[in-house]
Amino acid sequence: MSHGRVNDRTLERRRFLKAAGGIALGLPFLELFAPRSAKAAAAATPKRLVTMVNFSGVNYYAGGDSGRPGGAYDTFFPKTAIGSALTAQSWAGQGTEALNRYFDKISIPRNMVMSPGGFWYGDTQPGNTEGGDHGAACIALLSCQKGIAVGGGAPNRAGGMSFDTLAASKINPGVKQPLVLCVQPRRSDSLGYVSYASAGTPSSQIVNPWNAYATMVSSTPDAVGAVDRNALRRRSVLDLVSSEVNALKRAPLSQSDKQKLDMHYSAIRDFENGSQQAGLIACRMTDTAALSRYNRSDTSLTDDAANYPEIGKLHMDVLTLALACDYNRVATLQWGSGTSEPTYNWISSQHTYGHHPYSHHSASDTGVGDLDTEASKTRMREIDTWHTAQFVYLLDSLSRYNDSNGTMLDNSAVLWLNEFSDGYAHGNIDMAAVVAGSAGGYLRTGRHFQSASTRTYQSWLTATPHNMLFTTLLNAVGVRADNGSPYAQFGIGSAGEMSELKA
Amino acid sequence: MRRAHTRYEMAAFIRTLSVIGIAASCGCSGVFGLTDSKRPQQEGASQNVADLDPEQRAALCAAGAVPLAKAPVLVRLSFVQYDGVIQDLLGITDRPSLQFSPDPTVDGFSNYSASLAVSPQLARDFRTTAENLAQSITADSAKLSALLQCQPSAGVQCATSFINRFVARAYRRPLASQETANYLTLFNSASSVFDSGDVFTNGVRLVIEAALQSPSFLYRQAPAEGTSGVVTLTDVQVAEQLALTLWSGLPDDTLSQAASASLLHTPEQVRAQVQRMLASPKARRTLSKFHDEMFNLSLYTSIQKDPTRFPDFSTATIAAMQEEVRRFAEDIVFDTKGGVYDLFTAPFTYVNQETAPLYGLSGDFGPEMVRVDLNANERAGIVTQTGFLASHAHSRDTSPILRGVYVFRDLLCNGLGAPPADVVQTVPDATAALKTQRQRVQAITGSGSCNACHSNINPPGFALEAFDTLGRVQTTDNGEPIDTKVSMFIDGVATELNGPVELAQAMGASDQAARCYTTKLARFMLQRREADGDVCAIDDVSRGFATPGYTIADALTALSTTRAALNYTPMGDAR
Repeated sequence: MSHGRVNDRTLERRRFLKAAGGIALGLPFLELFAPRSAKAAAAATPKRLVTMVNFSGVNYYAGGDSGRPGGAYDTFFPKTAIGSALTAQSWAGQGTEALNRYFDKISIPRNMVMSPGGFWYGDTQPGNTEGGDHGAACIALLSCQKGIAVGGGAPNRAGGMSFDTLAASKINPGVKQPLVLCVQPRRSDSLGYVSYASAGTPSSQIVNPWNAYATMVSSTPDAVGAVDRNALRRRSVLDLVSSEVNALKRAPLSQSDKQKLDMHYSAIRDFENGSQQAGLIACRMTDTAALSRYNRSDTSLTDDAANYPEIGKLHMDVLTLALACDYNRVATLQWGSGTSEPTYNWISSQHTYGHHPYSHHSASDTGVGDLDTEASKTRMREIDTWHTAQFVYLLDSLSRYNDSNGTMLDNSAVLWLNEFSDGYAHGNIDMAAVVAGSAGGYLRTGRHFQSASTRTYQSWLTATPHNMLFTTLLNAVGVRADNGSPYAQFGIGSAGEMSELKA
Repeated sequence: MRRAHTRYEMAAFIRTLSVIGIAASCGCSGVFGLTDSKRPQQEGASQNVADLDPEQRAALCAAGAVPLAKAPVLVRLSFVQYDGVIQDLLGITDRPSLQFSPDPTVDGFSNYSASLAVSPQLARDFRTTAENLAQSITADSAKLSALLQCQPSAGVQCATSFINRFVARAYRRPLASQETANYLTLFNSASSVFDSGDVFTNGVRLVIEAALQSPSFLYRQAPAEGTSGVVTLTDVQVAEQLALTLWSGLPDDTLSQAASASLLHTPEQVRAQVQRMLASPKARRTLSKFHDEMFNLSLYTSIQKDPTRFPDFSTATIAAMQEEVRRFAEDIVFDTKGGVYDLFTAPFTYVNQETAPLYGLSGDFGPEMVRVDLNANERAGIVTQTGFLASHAHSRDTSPILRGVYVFRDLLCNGLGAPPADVVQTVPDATAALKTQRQRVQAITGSGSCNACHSNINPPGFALEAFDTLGRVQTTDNGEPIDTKVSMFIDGVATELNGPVELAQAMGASDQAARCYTTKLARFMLQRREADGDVCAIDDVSRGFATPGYTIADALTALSTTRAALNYTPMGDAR
């Protein structure tokens, strides 16, 4: 991709026509456009919601605490003054410099605090959360809920669904769950999940990009407007299974047992409804060579830390296609798990520890700072740079698809959210977030803004709970209250939207 | 020079407990579960019965007066059960669940019934698996005829007998006549559903595809009748329960025949079957999963070691470390026929070319795991194995705290609370007086409120300082001789010991470790936390381990035959 605006619509239009003429074989799939069905063209352009999550924080520390080596530093946020318009130089010299290219499609909210408020300031999580700060942060990150204890013991799961699930349940045509793709999540405790299907139940994570693709292929027609060739067989099978579910539900079951069955089998019926959906293109790639390497029954490739970058990229390819073909309108991409990310030794051989040790400048029991401070900051900055490159790849991918009124990025709300801003101190004050896309003009872009404080947490802390960001994004992609008025409040925090983020 | 440790740094310090993935839970104050005597309290059932003194409790148990735990009527198969049932049903070795999103863990276990939900993604995964297996099995003529056991030329007769046998096996119960009729309807729809292929084979394919998605296959259904009070499992349900809990699979013919002859409800009848089943290789897949989760082997995949210092350490090393624990535990249970004491003290292990050098073993080792005897003065059982030692350590340094927390909390089941929210601590700069890891950890945790927990956490960690970050024997640290003499509470008694072997011996001989292991085994078998109604069984088995010759197999037998195993109370508002 050359410098400058990503999209060359003339070129894409030409490719689109070529594809329509059937001579585009061999083009990368992202550039292969197929004719839209009349149905898709007639319908309103769908809004999509994409969330990318990283753990362990960014290279940022606001200063102000004694005993912390090195003083304040920040190579994450734009250098443009808060309250100003972003420019193509806003991130110059920062670890996030690659965001410059998208300056006018991005907004950076500041003054945002994780809600429910973290650990030392205000409405704390229930004590003893499994996994400590990281557990509480992973639980709240996308749910804005406190932890609840599932199966006994310490709070270990979110007390409600995450905002991506709510969005999918409201705006998806078929299956009412987001597409949740994870790059080598190493944990299945409180630190393993950010997306929640419901209180206490994490969303299922797809870790193998081939499986994500293969499932999509087997659930959708070969071409836009065609009939799913599996549909007839599946309907026969589903008829029998449904009769068994109904018979079982006549047995004396508890409400919770009935809910289990409903969740399970209503999903299968949703697939049937969704299988006729058609977006811009068919849910098919023309070139599956890189993906099909992962078509295997063991987990050796998906487990191998060396494949972390490739799996992430393939996930983003599948994710983009899933949005473009309207297989799903909501997707969440999770890199690693809380505290459990690989050693980023593909950046350079100087990365001898993982992200989490570098975030604390420490790799031992004897406290903090046993790793060299400046070297740790450099590694953190390099990790930010690598994450930024992945986020930009995602934006590039979304930009390659044209809806009738702009690119798919323009019609999406895309959020990159980090578990912590200051990973060193588990700080989730001034959360490290990047919002991209305008969701069809709903969101204001090109701003580095101070969101208005709506809560006083401590004498030294008044800020915006981050649930307001989610409330805004949910409204942006078309979620409304049952009576049609704006969706008022997601999760714990303050009511209303972040007005500075609205166009 | 000392400098202030801010609340941020304390958080960061506590965080170091989880650098490589352990949930940090150091409570550095008296309010986090430690009593004034500093004697650790055991975690576990805190209900009334568990709090009674042993004699009162024994009397209640003997009288059968402890109410049984409540359980849900419907429980989805855990993934190890799902894989095992599919293997038994179809005669294959696939493990389809390897591609699923893992079930969330509670208490380290992924099979708690409260966590076994079916998300839309998992519903898709079940569907995809059913479709793929139905297609591949029916495309393989040998497998197909093994499943059919009749000639397709016999038409509907063969179809009916196939349905009655195959679907009933899948459901772990006989079919109702309406169910058979529904499946025949599905079978007969093949001619209109498929536009090519053999009609009979296509019908079989539809039957398999549906059976593998049915709730009767995917869920274990306990009896819900008589929803007030105690429900006794039927013989058929006992057979299902034994097969799923001991084999993670289907009842075999012997077990099914015992059930249909109503010979599977007295404790004696069940005990005889359990003993027979534990002699089968299929019992290994269940116990392997238990020890995988008991010893947190998934954590090993996150082990990171500094490549500049440990260039030979690789993912192959990690794989060998995981396999070592599996093979060792399997040996103790099924070959050595040992008990908890042997898990903690056995002076042998399994190594290959990756891990033999870590044990200082020379000789010809290949990629396959082989059993080796170890120096009994250096190594004893599970806490001296390299995988545990390396996974509870940092990239270069050892971690007495991570190792100590695991021993204290996970092997001895002592309660350990949450991190204090706002502790001011001091951390010393490195000086000549603070050379060893022990000295430095002691300096920052050995006094003040931190010491309340760390006086219990640190000792086992310090005893294990005899091993470096890879689990190799070390005798000096930063040029100083390593001091592994410690005092710690075991069974409530302050115990002096020196080094890992004495630590392992003391733990292996303790009631506390036996009760801890028993509690976890019971959790895994019950698929939930223990409740009042399980305390009697846990008491019995824990006491059993104090008897010479009492084995883990004996414990499994006991846990499978108690009143709590053969009866239950349906949970919630069953109507």
